[in-house]
Amino acid sequence: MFPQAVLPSPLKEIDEVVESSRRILELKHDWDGEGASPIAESTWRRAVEFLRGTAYTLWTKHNLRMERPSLVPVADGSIDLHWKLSNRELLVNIPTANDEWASYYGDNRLGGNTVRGKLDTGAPNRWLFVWLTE
Amino acid sequence: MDWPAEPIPDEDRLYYRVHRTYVRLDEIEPAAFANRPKGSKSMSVDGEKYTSPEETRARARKPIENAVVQFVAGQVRAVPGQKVEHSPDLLSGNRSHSDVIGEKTPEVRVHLSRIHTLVIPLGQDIHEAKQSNL
Repeated sequence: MFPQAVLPSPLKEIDEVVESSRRILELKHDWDGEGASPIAESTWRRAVEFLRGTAYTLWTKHNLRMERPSLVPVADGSIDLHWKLSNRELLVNIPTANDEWASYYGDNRLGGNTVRGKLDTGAPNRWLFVWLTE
Repeated sequence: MDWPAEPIPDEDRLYYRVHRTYVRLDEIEPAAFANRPKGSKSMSVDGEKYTSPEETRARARKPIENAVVQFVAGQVRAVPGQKVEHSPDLLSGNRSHSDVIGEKTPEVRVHLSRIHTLVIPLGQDIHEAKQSNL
């Protein structure tokens, strides 16, 4: 990995998303007024390690830039990583149980060229993000 | 008080509260569309026959922190694995209460995020909301 001070700009952008997402760890029980669960630090760490690792691999091995996702808390304590691009949309949900695989869905925003399934966040998953940048 | 469950026609509108956490630049994140509370098999909505968007928002613990979106029942039923049923809530006195039953996978949440219409934006005063929905 690169030292923080010399991060190439595509990785710096992802790092900014990660840093600004830290605030979701401050959400208390019932943060939405409908009984939402807080976000566990382990779930957040898994989400950001997946994000940073994938962005790093894409950039260093494929010279591809990962677009900024939204990192959003879900009421059940899981985390959504959401990319909405001009011709692609991808949603990856990081569940609360650390041994459970993440689920994902993506398409071309018209319901075609779909991808869906479960993925191991510890694996490279390069194909999915190459698909996202096509 | 006797409020039997009634059929909900496909053309009826359903109102749903969205917490401010899910509103990004006037777009609603798919994370908003989840079964809750945790472990529930359905997402609570209100059917138009017995309520208004303003009343849906007013039922929130902190109305000012919520926007309201609407769905058309038939479009929700067209999303994979989703059923719409009227389920009046005698305890809270909400005759309009209805359920969107079915697992909210990433695919379902992406589809729900594409078929809603924002009817009360975040931060809109309740009186303004009433005027603009007359």
